[in-house]
Amino acid sequence: MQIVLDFFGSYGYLIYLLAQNSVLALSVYITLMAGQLSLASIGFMAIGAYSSALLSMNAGLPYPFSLVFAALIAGSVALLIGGPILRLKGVYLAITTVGFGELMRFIALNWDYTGGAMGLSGIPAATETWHVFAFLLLLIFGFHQLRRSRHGRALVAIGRDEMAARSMGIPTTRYKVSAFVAGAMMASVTGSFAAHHTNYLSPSEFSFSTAVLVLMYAVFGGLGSHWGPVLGAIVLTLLPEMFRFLQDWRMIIYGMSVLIVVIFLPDGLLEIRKLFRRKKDRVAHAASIMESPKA
Amino acid sequence: MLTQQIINALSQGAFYALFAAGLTLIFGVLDILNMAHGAVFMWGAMISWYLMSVLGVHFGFALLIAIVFCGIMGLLLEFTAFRPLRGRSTGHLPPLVSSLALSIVLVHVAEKVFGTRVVRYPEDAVPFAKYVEIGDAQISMLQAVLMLVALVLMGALWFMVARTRLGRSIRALQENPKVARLMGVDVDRTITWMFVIASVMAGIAGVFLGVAYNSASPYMGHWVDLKGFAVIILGGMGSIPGALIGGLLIAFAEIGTVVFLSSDYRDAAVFVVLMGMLLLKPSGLLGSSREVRA
Amino acid sequence: MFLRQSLSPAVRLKHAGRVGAVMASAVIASAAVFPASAQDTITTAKLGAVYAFSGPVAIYSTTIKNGLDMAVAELNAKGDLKIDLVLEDDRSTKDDAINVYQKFIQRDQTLLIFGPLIGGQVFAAGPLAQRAKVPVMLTSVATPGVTGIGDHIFRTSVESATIIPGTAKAAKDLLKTARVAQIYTNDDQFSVGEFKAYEEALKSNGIQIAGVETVRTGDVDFSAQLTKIKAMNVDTLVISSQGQEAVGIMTQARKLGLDKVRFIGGNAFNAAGVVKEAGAAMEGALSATPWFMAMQHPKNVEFVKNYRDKYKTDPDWLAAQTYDAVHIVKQALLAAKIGKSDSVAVARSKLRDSLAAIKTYDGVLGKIEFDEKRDPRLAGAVIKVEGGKHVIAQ
Repeated sequence: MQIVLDFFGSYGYLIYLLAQNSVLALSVYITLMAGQLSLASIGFMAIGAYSSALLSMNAGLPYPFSLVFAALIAGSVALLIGGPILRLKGVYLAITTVGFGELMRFIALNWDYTGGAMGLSGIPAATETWHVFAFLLLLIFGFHQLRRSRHGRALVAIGRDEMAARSMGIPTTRYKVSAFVAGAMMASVTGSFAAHHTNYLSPSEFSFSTAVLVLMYAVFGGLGSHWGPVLGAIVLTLLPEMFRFLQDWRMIIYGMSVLIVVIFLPDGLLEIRKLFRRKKDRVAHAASIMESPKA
Repeated sequence: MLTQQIINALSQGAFYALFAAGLTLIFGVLDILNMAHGAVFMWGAMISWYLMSVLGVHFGFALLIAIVFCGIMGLLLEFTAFRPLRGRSTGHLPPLVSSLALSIVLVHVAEKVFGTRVVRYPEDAVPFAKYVEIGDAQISMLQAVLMLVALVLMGALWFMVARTRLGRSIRALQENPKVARLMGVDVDRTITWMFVIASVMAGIAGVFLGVAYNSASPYMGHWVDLKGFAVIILGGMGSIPGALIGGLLIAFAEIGTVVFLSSDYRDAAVFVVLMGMLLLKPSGLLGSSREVRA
Repeated sequence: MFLRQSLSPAVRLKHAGRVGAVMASAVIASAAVFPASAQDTITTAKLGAVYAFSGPVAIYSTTIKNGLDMAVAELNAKGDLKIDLVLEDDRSTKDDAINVYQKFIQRDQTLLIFGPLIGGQVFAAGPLAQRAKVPVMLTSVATPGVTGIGDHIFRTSVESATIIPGTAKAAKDLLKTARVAQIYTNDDQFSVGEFKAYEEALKSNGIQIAGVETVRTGDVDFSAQLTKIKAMNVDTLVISSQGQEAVGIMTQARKLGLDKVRFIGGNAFNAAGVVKEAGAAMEGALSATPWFMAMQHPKNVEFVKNYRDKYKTDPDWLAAQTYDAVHIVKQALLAAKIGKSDSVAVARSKLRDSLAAIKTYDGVLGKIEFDEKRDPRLAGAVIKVEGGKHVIAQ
């Protein structure tokens, strides 16, 4: 038991990050399922982090309440901008969502209330790592159910071919917006966790590079199922720490590792499963891959 | 004061345009988000700095060598990050990740080779250092040359796309890759050329930016990436005149914000303009309407 | 011992106890007379140091590393307590800083942690060390409030707000500054802190602030902001930014025709590299520094000479702050008399108390006084750039 506690004590933050980044990757994944390349997760994470921190600090709200309130705020924003934004496709949508993220960071930086460049410190320490893991497990269960449900199948259909889905009578806008809002709320909760875990927030945590990194988690892991983003997040969070012994070669080896993996497994790490399939399964699987969404 | 600000904006716009021209070519035709463009831009600047500062090479030669170097980088980019994925046709997410990974490698190698500092060019090696007064404003010869170079290069690029055989192949690719192959277009070679040209332009932009602002660092590609994408969307994907207009528009929006609002909001200007454009005419100023709306 | 057979067990026990007590007090008495021999206290102390050795702010860590290495080498050559320094890179990110702190605290079991580089990281990782009761020594963070995280946070880096008022006053007295514009990097805590300190100092000296412009970290084009400032007709520009932006601002200002405008700045102006790169543009610039290379006290003269010999370049205030910090920690380690059998927790506690007991220190930085919040106060100097070099401003 002591060994477990010691391990946890020394790697605690890393373990926490595994859960946090997995949830973030899932928040991007849900929009990718519907064929939407959205990089807005970081922006919603910022909303969740700052809203919950300010609610906890200034309104004295107990932690679970500020978490939920912040998620509602994020969800409302997503609902508001989802409609007009999701009319765009591909890189246009991506850049718009990046713009949204940058706008959030910009507000956090220039508004005195959010502390500006100095950030917010002294946020009550309320998150335990198990909270985030519990949330992650909840989401994994949720995704599992989603896949089998009508809602989930509709999302995947929209992801594969939106026009065809619409012509089949699926109200595409409604589903896309719902995915967007769900992703926003997931990201918001992650932000609230983060704020109450490290007791300190600054706008620089919510940058464009982080947004792209989160997308990388999802794509690197594989978009075939919700396990992909989780796997991608875990591997890509562990790698920089594992490579620490490489000193200043660390990030170079990291970049090359990712490059090599993506070239050999462009559909993500999950593609390794292909190697274990029997031949006839492989043919069927390949056929379904060819129609995979061009997100 | 206003005259000076206009000169400032024209100069900035020229940079953005030069950087975006290569990006719009790749993205508009191949539908690929090349995340390593900024890294090539940075390497152009760093190589020119090294040549001029450490080896004492004259600016002209440094520029030439940087051009060749960046062209080779373009080849490297194409062969390692994009070509291997092309045969698998799995959408445009994997190339985004592979170019991003390559970008990380390129930036950190630059860090290792050149150090992490912002480096300065030697005082006497900066070309066209004279200033000309226009009213109460000043324009440096370097700025003027840059604007000229940007115009000329973009003109050349546009000419190449519109009138040469390579250009025809590029346009055919843009229309329909499968049909283009059937019509005898050597797709692989055309794409390779596109990456080389785009990288060369990025390199030239890097050299000029480095010399004009007398600063270069391994991290200088970061902000350009983001603004570059905004410029090409604004101007219209795949349109070279669009890149020029987009670049100028964003530069004017940024400087206008500083002048008429506050310098605090300078970086938000890009996104406000972009949002506006996306809501009104998503295909950009000079882009075509297809492939934009869901 | 004697008369064993003739005493009952109870009496024998009491006897043994009394004898034991006598023997114990004899040992203790002898310990007091002959202080604990070197065999009883530790001979090596493992200390961790985390700074940004990669990433955009890595340049600041170079001189800090030099300061660390030089100080540790000198102190270890003395032959008494040896410092075993473990260095890690945090890429100036919050996550890495926290991960490294955990590594030092739990896995490496260091007695103390030097760094990280930036204020924001300290706010994130500092509470971790405070909770784990591990002393932290900062050598570069000038942001206000960090020592407020807890009583285990120490620093030799002076807060900007303590030395900036000196520059404002000097500007008024020496340069007859009356009307200024301020320009600062608004997304960097260090610069924002300096900006606010200057704003206050300028106002309290009755200097008029005609306008304020902002730039971002990494910006290279300042023409728009500087053109605006040109129209404000000020006699001085107060620059609060990091070195690379400061160089760009000053050189571009001159190029845009702001020839007569003076420059005043903060810590960025104190770097020799900045002076060199800004060249003629920086002539006459004023700044306040916690440490100045030409300060004449003997410890500094020796430090500068040794540093130059070893690294073939000039030290900066970060190297000086770090060098003194290591010496202070060594002094505290010796005074703490940490025993070999002491657990890591006890050792850390002794070290912390020992550090807190150091109220003044005379080192490379001159005479430092630590206040009740463990923040350093020192005289510093107001310096001017003359002939491409720093001199005392008078």
